[in-house]
Amino acid sequence: MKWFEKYLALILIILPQWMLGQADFYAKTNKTEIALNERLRVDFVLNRNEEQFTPPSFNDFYVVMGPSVSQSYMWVNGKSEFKKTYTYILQPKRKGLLDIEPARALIDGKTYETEALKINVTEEAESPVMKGNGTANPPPDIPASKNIFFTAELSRSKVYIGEPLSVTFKLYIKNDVRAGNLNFVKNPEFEGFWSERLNDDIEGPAEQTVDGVLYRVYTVSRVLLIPQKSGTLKIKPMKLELTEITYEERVFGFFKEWVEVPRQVSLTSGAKMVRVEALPEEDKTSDFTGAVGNYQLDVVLENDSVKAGETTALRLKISGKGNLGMFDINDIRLPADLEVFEPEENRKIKATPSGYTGSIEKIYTIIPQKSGKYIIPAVKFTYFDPQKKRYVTLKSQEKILQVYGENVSGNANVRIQTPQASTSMSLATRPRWQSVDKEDFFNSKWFWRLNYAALFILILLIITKFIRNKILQNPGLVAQRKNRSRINSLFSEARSNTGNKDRFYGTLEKILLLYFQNKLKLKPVELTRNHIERELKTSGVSSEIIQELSGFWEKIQSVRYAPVSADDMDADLEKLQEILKHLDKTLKG
Amino acid sequence: MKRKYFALFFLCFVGVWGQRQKADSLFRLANEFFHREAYAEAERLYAEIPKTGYHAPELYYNAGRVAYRQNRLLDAVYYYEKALRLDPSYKPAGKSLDVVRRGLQASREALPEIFYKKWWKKFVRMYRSDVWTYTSFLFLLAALISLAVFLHARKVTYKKTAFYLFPFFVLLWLFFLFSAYSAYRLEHRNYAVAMKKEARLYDEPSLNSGAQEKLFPGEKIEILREEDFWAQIRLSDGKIGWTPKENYRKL
Repeated sequence: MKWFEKYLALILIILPQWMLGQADFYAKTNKTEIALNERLRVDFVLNRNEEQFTPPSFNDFYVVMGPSVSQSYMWVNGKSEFKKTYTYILQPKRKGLLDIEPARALIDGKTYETEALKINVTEEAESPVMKGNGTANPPPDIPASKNIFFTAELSRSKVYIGEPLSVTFKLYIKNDVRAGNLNFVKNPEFEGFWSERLNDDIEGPAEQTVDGVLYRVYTVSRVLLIPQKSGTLKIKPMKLELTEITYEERVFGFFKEWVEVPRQVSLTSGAKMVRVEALPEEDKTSDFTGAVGNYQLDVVLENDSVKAGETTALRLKISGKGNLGMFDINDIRLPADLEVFEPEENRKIKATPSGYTGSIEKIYTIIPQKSGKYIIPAVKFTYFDPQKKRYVTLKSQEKILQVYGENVSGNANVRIQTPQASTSMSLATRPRWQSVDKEDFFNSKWFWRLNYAALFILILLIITKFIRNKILQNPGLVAQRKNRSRINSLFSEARSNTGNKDRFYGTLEKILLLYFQNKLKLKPVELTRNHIERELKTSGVSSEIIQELSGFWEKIQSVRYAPVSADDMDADLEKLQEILKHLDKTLKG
Repeated sequence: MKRKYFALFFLCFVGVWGQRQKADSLFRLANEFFHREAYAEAERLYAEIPKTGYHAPELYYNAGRVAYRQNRLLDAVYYYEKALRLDPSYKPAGKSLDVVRRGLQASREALPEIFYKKWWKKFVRMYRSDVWTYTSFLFLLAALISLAVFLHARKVTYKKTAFYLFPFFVLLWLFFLFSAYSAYRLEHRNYAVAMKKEARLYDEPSLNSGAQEKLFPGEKIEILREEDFWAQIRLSDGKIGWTPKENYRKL
């Protein structure tokens, strides 16, 4: 399908080239000289949408924020103006004259570069420089203020592998302080854990007193964690920035006034350690598949007495709380004589701060083929109970399935569908083999051949239609074709009548009359021997043929009274065909 | 002479049939080893099977189970993905892959696709491109027949029916042809699984270029271009970058 892509690419490439002018790409900063603890804003501006943007490596800077991308599109005096900006906020790593290397952008297949920028970094400023509007320009990790603090709280710090715990990120804000412009700088990382966030939005506030001071408490994020490996695991902190607004008393002449003082603060939740213990190896049974928590096992046979060929179902249900859904459930080993379908799984699981709760149900549909008593063996399920610190094995009761009625004929097809005695680990047993280097039919040799064949047939159909139309438009041709086919059928009639001379020569006469009626366009009255011969002479038929024809004519007349052999008749038939062929050549139309 | 050809033909037939038989018996033997918990032996046999010229989604699924039993989660992910590549709707592999992925923390928020694209992909994935192609030819044939009837039939009722059927068949033909094309494109995408712990995504094929993104072990990536040591890849969230070829294993 290369042609298809090529055309599309061609259209797509031509359009923007022709619509837009020259590409422009440059870098700019808000300052060229900064203090070590100050921040720098760098913009990379494009006037065209790029295919690929490669920022410089910023070796001498920390990237505090970015890239943030903004786009604008404007029509000015009938001209369009497009602007796309990549913005980075940087903090220098060291003093001195630092380079910001060129950024690169791929526009319409061409690479554009900005020029390198030089930034002079001076001695650390004493305190963040206050700007006109009073907003501070703080270094990335200013110490958390006493008015606001941010914590990560673990529900427990010592767990087993697979034992659920949760971490809650809480933001404490002093009651008389306002906060706004909340901005998540870094999400927490839970390496070694399976994690699921429990809340979509920030919850709260709730009121809480800490050391005698009233705080509003917001729950920023609550995450359910399930450890996957043992050891001391670290939860990397969450970072956020916000604007803290306090009120200060100011004196203006005679008046005292409360003034809002905004301040940008950066908060981190602090790293947390979780000690994860491995599950004890002793008493670990082979059927343990990793379930940790507290579970119940229910095995229900829907109908314990069924007719052969009818369905029943076995339900294996595990419900409880813990790492539900994160372990395998062993299959039941059912008697081989029962036809069992692949189990259907039904999950009803909810995430809560103390783990996954709900149930998993496996439903086996059974169609017994033969009557008899079948024992459905007891099902074992082992889990680790972290509270009791030991393995618990649940065992269901053995069940008996009574099958009555006539056996369903064990035809071969049905047997194949029967899984070979379900194994405990549910391995696949019936591979659908396919060739490793199987070639696709699409775009193959035969695919194209068939397409060409279809095209050929299409053309053929149209051409034949065209030819037929030509023929149908000419009435003379149609009549001629009709006559020709009638004469042909008369010939074959004569051929089958070689035993009966009367009928045979009668047919030959009919052929001759029909032939001349059509060829010479004669009326029925004019169909006499003399008239025909005269007409033939005027249309320039050689006298030899006319003589032959009259001889033939006479024979037809006289033969009724003379004996004729079958061989003679054959010879006459051929002779007539010969004469007509000659006539065809001279008489056209 | 004829006999010789027949023998040759017979040999070829037996050869093909024999390979398949061999794959089958190896497969059964490997399953037996698995049940006896001889995992290394089972795995060796599973790996042997594709050399017979045959493979199956079930084969890779079982190989994945072996790896999982031995606690080699990355290999398990690789095998399950491979099984799913042969049959995208193969449920056991899909479920097992979910379970392993949960343990690997290999979660990246996939780029949300426009709904109709998602639906189309899901629809096209229901069958292999071959099935779509055969169906399209079926309708091409039907279109040609209805055209022939329309052009050459004498009876007016036949002509009329054919006249209405023809565009219908042509539309269906084009539809299935396009489905075949999409399926073919999807099947021919190169995918791989990230197999290294500390793999990173670089902006350029050079270790000195910026490396902002981390590749999760077990993550499925799409390979766009391969060079000697580097490959350009696309992550599930749409980010494009370079990584050394040793960081992944191709599906």
